[in-house]
Amino acid sequence: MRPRRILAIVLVAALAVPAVAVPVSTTSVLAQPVKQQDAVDARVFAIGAKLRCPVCQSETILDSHSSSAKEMLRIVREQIDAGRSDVEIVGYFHDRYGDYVLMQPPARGANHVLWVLPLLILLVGGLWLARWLGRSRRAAAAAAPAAPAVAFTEHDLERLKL
Amino acid sequence: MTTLAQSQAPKLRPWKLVLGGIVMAMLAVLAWGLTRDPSYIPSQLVGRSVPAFALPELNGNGTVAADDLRGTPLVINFWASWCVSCRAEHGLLTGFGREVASRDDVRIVGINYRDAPAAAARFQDELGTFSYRSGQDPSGRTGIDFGVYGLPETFFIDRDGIVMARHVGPLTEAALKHNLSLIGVTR
Repeated sequence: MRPRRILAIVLVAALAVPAVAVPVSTTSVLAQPVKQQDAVDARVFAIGAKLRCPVCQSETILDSHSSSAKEMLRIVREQIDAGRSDVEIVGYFHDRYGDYVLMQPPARGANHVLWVLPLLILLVGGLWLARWLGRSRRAAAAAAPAAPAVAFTEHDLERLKL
Repeated sequence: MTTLAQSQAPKLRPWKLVLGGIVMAMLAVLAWGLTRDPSYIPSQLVGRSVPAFALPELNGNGTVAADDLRGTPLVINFWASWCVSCRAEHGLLTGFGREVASRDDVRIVGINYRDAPAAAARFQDELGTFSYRSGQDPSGRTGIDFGVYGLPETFFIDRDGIVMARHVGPLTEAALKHNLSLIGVTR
């Protein structure tokens, strides 16, 4: 493949991968500050992975080691113990910090842009790439000679022998 | 008639113009995004009632409670000894506190957020004692009720108990004057 074509593929891939990956919630694989023991822990984990730590940058309260995030996890646990539903608990934090606190911004109003734009970029980029590849393949086919212009001679064969 | 130069010039197709425009617009949005503070969280509290709190007083046996502070425009300042930019506004706050002590149309309280009384005392030994009361919020739960995310934060509450403004970062003379005007207080 020609360098330009490789460059185009790399560019589109580089644009598309984060565009698709960003809105998906990150779930902790590294730091899990609380040991998962029972059903309550499982709920603390699930809710904690949905909430964004207000004092960190794009980190869930489950991932963050900040004391603020730990206090928020403690509140989640207390509210589960108090019999509140997941929606109520997430609502408690949403009430205080707004959409910022949600790792997945709700798909409403201006937020729709966040959800639609990556797919749109992927679509437009894909169409453009397909079109470009098709055109350059046709151009290459048109430019390629049907047969070698010069026949292979005995003399050439001699030269190849070592 | 077509000249040689015209036929060799690359054609500007409409879809190329449109796509180029879209790309430029997206780059402009992204560039504008770089100028913004990604850690800024808009306050959910403005326009709503001040959350209830009753906190033990920092240097005393009393309680700093929202209910006792109703009926008069109120300033609530979240601070901590570990908060570096709280040092920048300390002089302004203590000065304003002394002024408030002599007038009855505005009040101010502090909330010592996620701090230890000993550390808070050292802070005041170094920079000057607050001229008003502070409540202790060691767990930060009152802070969460206020949507606090970065100190210092100052809330301006009108006489009906409605939060009219929140200021993030060290207060300045101008910001204090402006926000006070929102709760009907002239300075």
